[in-house]
Amino acid sequence: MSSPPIDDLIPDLSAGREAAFVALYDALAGPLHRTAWTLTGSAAEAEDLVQETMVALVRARTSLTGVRNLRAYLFATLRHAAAARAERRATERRALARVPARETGPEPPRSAQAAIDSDRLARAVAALPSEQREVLALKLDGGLTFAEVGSTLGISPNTAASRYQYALNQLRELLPEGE
Amino acid sequence: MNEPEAPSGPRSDLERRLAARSVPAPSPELRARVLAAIDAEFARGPARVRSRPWSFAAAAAAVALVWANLSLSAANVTRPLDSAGLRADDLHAEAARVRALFPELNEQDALRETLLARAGGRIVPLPRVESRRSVLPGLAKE
Repeated sequence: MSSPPIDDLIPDLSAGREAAFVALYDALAGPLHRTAWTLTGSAAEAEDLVQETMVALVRARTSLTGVRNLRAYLFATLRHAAAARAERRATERRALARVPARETGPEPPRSAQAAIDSDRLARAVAALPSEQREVLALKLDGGLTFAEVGSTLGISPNTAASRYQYALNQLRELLPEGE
Repeated sequence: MNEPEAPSGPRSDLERRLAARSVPAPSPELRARVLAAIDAEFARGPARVRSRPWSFAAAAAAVALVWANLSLSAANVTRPLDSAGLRADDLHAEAARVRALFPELNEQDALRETLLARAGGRIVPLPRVESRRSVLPGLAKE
């Protein structure tokens, strides 16, 4: 299902009206940042990704007239940016693997049960296969429908739903309900 | 393979926990930072437009150079009919000889065969290259 208010911005965006980009950012910054955080696991990188996504959209503004679902298009751009960053990170990791590791200090104490639970959830989500984590992030954090998730990832809505179910099943094994 | 249907209805406890899990909120400066980046990207737009006349001039110069180069090359390899010694009287005389040999040809066909024969006569076939099993003296079997 598309989101008419967001898609209504397309003519103004493609015409290069800056106010439309501000409106789009205000409408979707939260879900974009949340999704980016789930994909990267880093707050700083998530913020960079949101910025890169919006700037990429400005650069591609003249081609936006052909976009049918702006939300899916935006999250697809975010995903590409995240993939490019992951590739760069992997390259850096390979280079850093030759450097001896430095000893790290103890973990900061966590007292609140909610923080522990969130931490456990975050770790479990991070342990999912990337294709399942993407679907989970787009669905739960981005608020996309399965049709939009499918459009974003270039897969069918049923495949998106299937991956989502696999992700939930895997998380259930790692995190029994009520724990 | 049957795809499972999209989950619908009330969310499971796990989905609710996942949706409610704490995620670091974007920093208060993020909005200003992104809007500044958008602004900068828009400001960069006119700079590209200003550079367009130079790009156009460079492209036009490149096209002119390529065109001149191709024209000179074509002029060097093109042989006008006159320079090949082709004259109408000679052509018709040769066509008449062809028709004498092959009376079933009409005049047009004879002219065409004559032109083809002249064109083919200028083709220089490449020499045939044959591989030899042994090119070193003394190694060949007696």
